[in-house]
Amino acid sequence: MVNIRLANADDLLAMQTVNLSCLPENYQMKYYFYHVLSWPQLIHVAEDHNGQIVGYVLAKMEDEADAVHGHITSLAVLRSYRRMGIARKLMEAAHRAMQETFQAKYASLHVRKSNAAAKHLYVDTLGYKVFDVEAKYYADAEDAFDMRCTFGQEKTAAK
Amino acid sequence: MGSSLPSKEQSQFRQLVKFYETKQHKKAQKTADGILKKFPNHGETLAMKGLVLNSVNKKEEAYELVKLGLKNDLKSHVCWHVYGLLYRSDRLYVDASRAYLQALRIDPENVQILRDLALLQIQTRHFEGFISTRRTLLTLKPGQKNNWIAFALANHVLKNYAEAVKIIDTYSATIVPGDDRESVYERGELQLYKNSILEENGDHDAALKHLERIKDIVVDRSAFLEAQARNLLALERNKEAEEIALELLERNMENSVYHEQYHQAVLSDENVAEEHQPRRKIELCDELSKSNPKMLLPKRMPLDLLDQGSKEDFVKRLDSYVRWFLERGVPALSVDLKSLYRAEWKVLAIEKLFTGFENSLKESGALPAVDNDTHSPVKSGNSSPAVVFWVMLFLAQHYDRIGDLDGALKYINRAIEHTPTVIEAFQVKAKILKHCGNLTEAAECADAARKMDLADRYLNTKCTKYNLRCNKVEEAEANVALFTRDGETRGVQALYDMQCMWFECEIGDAYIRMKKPGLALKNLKAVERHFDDFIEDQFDFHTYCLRKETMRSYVNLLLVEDEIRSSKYFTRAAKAAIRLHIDLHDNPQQKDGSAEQAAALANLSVAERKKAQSKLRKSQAKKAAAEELKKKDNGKADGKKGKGGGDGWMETDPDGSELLKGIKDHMVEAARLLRELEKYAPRDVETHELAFEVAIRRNKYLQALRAVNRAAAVQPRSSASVNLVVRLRLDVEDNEEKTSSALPEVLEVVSTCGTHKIVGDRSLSGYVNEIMTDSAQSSDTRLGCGMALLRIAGNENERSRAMEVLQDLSGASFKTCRQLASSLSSFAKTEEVESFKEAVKEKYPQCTVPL
Amino acid sequence: MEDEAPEKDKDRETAKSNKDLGKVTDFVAEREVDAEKFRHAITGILDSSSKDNAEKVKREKELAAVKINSEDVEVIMKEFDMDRASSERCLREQSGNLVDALRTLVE
Repeated sequence: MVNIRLANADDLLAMQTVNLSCLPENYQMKYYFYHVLSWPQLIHVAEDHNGQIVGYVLAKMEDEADAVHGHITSLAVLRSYRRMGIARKLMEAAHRAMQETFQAKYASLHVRKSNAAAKHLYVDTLGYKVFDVEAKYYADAEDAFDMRCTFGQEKTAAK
Repeated sequence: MGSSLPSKEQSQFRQLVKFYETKQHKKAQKTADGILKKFPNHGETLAMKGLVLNSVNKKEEAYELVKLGLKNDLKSHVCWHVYGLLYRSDRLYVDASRAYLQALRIDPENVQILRDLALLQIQTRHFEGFISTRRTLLTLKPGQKNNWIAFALANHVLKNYAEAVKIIDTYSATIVPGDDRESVYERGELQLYKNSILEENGDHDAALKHLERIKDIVVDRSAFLEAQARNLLALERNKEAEEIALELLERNMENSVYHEQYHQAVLSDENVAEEHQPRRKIELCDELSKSNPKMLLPKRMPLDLLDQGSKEDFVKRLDSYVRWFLERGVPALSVDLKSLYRAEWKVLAIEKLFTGFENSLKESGALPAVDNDTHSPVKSGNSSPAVVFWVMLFLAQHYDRIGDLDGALKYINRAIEHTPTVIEAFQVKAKILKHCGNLTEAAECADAARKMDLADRYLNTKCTKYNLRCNKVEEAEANVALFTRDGETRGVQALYDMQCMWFECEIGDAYIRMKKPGLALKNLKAVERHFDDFIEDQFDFHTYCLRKETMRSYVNLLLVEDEIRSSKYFTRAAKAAIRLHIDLHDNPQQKDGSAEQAAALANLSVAERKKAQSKLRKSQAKKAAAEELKKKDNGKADGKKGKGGGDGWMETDPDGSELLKGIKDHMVEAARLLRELEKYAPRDVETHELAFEVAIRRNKYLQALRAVNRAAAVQPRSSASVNLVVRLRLDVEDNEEKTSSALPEVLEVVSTCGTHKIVGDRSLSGYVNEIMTDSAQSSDTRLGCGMALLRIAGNENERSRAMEVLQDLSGASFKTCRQLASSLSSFAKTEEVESFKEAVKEKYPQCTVPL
Repeated sequence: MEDEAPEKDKDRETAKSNKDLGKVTDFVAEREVDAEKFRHAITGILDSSSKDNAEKVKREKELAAVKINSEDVEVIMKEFDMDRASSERCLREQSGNLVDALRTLVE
């Protein structure tokens, strides 16, 4: 049984472990603190019936550029919990908070060019579109798609 | 500031300070040097230059300059202030605080110094000092917003709730609210903070009224609704709570807390009797499920709620719930159903259902048809070929979960044979093999899985972990390095930089098993250092959060930081380190490198041995000198990390030999770690087991007694507490040698507060037997009692009786067996340990690791 | 951090996170609001003296008056690895009786 809820500072260590286990892009704990202390409404986790964190979304707001927008810093779900729709639900929760609390006009994120599964989630399920390509964005020199999801125009997942 | 300088240099000094504050370090240095050219002894400039150098990691020079500056101008509050800042940057809080207070004696109304002192006080949780400093700051600068909010906070943490609220109200009433997005957000946050204080104080009525008033200015809708729900439920205003809970569910139906609140509201409102409550909750879930058929929780929760009386209903619901997972091919089905395994009858029902699926697929190629009701979102009877694979995979996981490892292996092998391309199957197989004790094949399996998708770090992580479990350290390091950032930095240093504690704990354990204490300690200490960093991390946020006004989150952080060392990584690393220290204390020759070295030396003649030892000493001295030089160099360098041979924790003293040598007394070090565990993990019985071990070796009998009492309080009738009681009685209370040398007061306490309190008038074996025969006990407890009986055993008869108990391993996991073997080898006879190990091998014939 | 050498070997994610964390300690001038108004508002806030204080002071005086034996303090320090201040306090709270003090500590 999986529970999707807002994160609090207590969850950060577990989130960091999930991140280190699943993704090559990692952050020091201070960065997690920074997120939860700046935009507490945006960070969500998925936990199992024992309270173990099995997935998270780390998001922030960005004030630069044209309009105020949200940005997905990092998203990961343990492999043993995939295909249950957890990632989608985490993203939807983050999107809603971005709009409600911060009046974000759109959300942005970076994804590896080769990551088909992630792209499918973002493009087909959530309504993201490719905005730009950032060459050699990742540490291993892979390119990134800079993607955007404009709120109000995205596909809403059928209830 | 800038005292006794002519006006030109004074303004230069002010520039210097500005450059420092805006982190323009090169310009700051240049300006400082400019002043010093004309006034080389100017204390305050020297001190400021030192501060700037400290920011670019030139620590030695920094301290020299600051001390010199202070010497030249003892009456300068700037110099004292800077001295304090320097200490603080090295986490020397007591010294920093003294320096600030000294500075304040000279300039008691210096706002900057007061602010820095306040930061230190909240960091070290000196709330009394903090509130006093904050009061002063507010008096001096009432026009600064942060001072108001900080003063409210100071009252809040001291539980002066009414004052805190009053301060926020006064501030809010006086300030002219801005209309920009940021001000609106901040205002809402501040009001939610006030609301949380009201709620914390139990003033639910006031909290609700307040929420009504701030309804239109709060932008954080979730927090608003959640606060309403909590407060309404606390006041049993159930109808209103129901409404809010429903609104929350509309927003996120996969949140189990919202469901629970909804249930609580309805049950309370309708005054439902306890025995009918599960039924009513299920009805509520069903209603939600009808209007939201794609949501999982409303379908999943009833499965937990149903009791044995509704077996048919349970099976029907389970059947339709799992269809979606099987048709879609979701490997997470097994973990999703984990909570159902608490009930034996549910386990049997699950098994029956899935073996039924298997048969149906075999016979007709399809799953059995499902009744056409609203629970099932999927067309019935139509199944693609892959479904049989997922059924077999599930059954493998099912049998693994209930301990039928042969059944599990049978199914997983069939699944792999059916569809060898699904990575999950190899993952599951690796896990089953691990449970069998076959760690080598488990690692191979995990590696096979990893190779099937080299881009997935999760597979790499699992493979690395399995490698470490069978001590394949080089392979593990090579694997894990495939995903670390730099090519230049060693993999383990990159992992350290990213605070990868799961790895450090696992490799620490591996090195302990491999008898490489230096390397083990290096990794376990790394974990400790990360936690020091986590505590330090909060420092910058004390100012930041006041600025951003995200007070609720900030207060939450303070609470979390207070308990952060109770986290599983810290406790795991501390326990492993303590055990290592105990081992090194008991077996000292390990320290000189390795057991092999000692053995090699033993084979040489006296003269050759002397030569070899002096060679070793010389090479160690050389290494030590090189380390010293490196340290000096790094002090001068610009602190750039990431270069090969840099100064990272894993790169200096990489095999931990210096670290190991630096420990003069292992028991003192163990005691230091234990103090942390006693503070942060007092409800963990292992803490007290370790406390006992260390106390016994240090002859601190009262601490041993305390450990026994605390273990008994935490887990009264468990393997741990039983064995501790027995050991305290046998090794201390009944031990003449020990008791004769103790102080009379100590003896008195031991005799009155000791094991007699727990054991009473029974004999020791009577006490143990009573617990052992208690039918409610787990196999772990039974085996633990067997071990206790062996300790007590006075003659051959009693010994063999105890061994009989120990050799009945039904219900014991491989992990438990391993732990028992290790405990036994510390006190039992060799042949007894061997026969125990034989029994384990019989139960776990596949095990590949030494016990 | 304008005059720090740019870290070329860091990838963009790390560079971004470093930049963000740098913002945490940015020097931001304190927002000043109408000082006069707030100065008036202060009165009434600042005289929050808790009644607890008086009680605390009384308790401290009582404890300070208890006669204790320095040898006993050393026993507590040695047996429990405690610092002098805490050991003294424990003894005082048990009216100077060593056995009582030790008894509370083994719980």
